[in-house]
Amino acid sequence: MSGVWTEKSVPMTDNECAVEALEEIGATILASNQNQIRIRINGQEWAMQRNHGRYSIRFNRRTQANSLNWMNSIGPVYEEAVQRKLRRLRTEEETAQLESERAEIQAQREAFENQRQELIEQRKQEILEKAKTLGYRVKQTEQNGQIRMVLVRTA
Amino acid sequence: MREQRITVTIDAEGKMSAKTDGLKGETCIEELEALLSELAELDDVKHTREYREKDPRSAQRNSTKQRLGGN
Repeated sequence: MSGVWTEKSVPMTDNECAVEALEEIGATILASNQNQIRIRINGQEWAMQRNHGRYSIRFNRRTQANSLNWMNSIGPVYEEAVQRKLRRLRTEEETAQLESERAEIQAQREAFENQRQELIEQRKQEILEKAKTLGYRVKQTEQNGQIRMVLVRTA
Repeated sequence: MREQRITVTIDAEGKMSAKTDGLKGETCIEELEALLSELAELDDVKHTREYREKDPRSAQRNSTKQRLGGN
């Protein structure tokens, strides 16, 4: 083995939940829309752009990695915000008085639930395409919702 | 022929991880960046013993460069 990498945080796909989670870990939201969230945390400003289905930060790995330590704690907080939003949408759906209102909330809930699955599918496809471009053969397996892709190349 | 392998895992929450085998030195980082840098922040790649070994291809490139530079 020569290198191991794990993504710092779960990918944040939902604007509302991302904003909630960022505020909970102490960030000040400077601006927020579907494409971007600008924050200040630990005295530094960051812009999170929506890119490849999630909010991400572009930074210099060699010089700025340590100042991104706040991202280590955001994963579970974001996950709690996701669960809260899901519970709220389900309750609103159940208690809606009008059929049209119920249908609208149901569509909103389904879109919210599908966001993550769409991201996973998108990531999988992009890795497959990139791997082929780089000359790797790919074997893919799926178990308990986890996707494992083994890329092999002879040099 | 030397086998190079990268195992990428995407969990149920969409979070990714990767480990490489048979990739030495900077080649390890370069390959992960080529594969994943558009999808995630490659901020913290843990290096193993193999990483610290020299990639024979880059060693050869350096040696060629040195020869060219020395002439």
